[in-house]
Amino acid sequence: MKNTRNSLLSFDVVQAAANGSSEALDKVLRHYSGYIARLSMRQTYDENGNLH
Amino acid sequence: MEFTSRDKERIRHQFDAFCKKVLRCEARTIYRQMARLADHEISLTEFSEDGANLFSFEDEYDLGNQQFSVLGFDVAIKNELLAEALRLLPEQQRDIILLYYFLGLNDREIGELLNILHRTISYKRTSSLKKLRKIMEGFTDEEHKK
Repeated sequence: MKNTRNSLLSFDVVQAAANGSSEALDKVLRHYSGYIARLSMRQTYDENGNLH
Repeated sequence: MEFTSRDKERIRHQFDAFCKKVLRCEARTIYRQMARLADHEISLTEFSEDGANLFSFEDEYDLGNQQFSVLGFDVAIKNELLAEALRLLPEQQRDIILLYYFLGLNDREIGELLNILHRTISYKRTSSLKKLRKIMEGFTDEEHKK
């Protein structure tokens, strides 16, 4: 997976998304999917205190 | 609207920062909600007998309860004091009280059943409630005197 943290969306996509284009919004969403996945991960402990 | 390439670069960065902030805050909100839920949730198995009793309900049958019948409905009153007081009320007032408070009908429905205007029902209901209270207060006073 390419590193989305350091890559920026193109200006055209940003402009289209700001104007409400669903196609562009989909691109934005996909662009940040890695970031979303990272935020969604949690460290949990099971009954034995092991880190997951 | 025309943008210079520097503007475009800035806007791309601003947009990137905005999106990340939204996502971060959204994630924090969800985690907070989950934490709050976890604070309040208790597993059913962790409940003691007392706790479990809060959610259980015992069926009651009409044994030993005072029975009243209104327009074909049977109403059982468990509280003896209340039952005695109800017996002392005139029949119509007793019917209104029973229909309203025990069978859950509203004034209009009672009015239709008894062929009385619902405004009259509302008036009679409050006045019979007052009467009922007087009777019951009389009972408890007597008990205190004993």
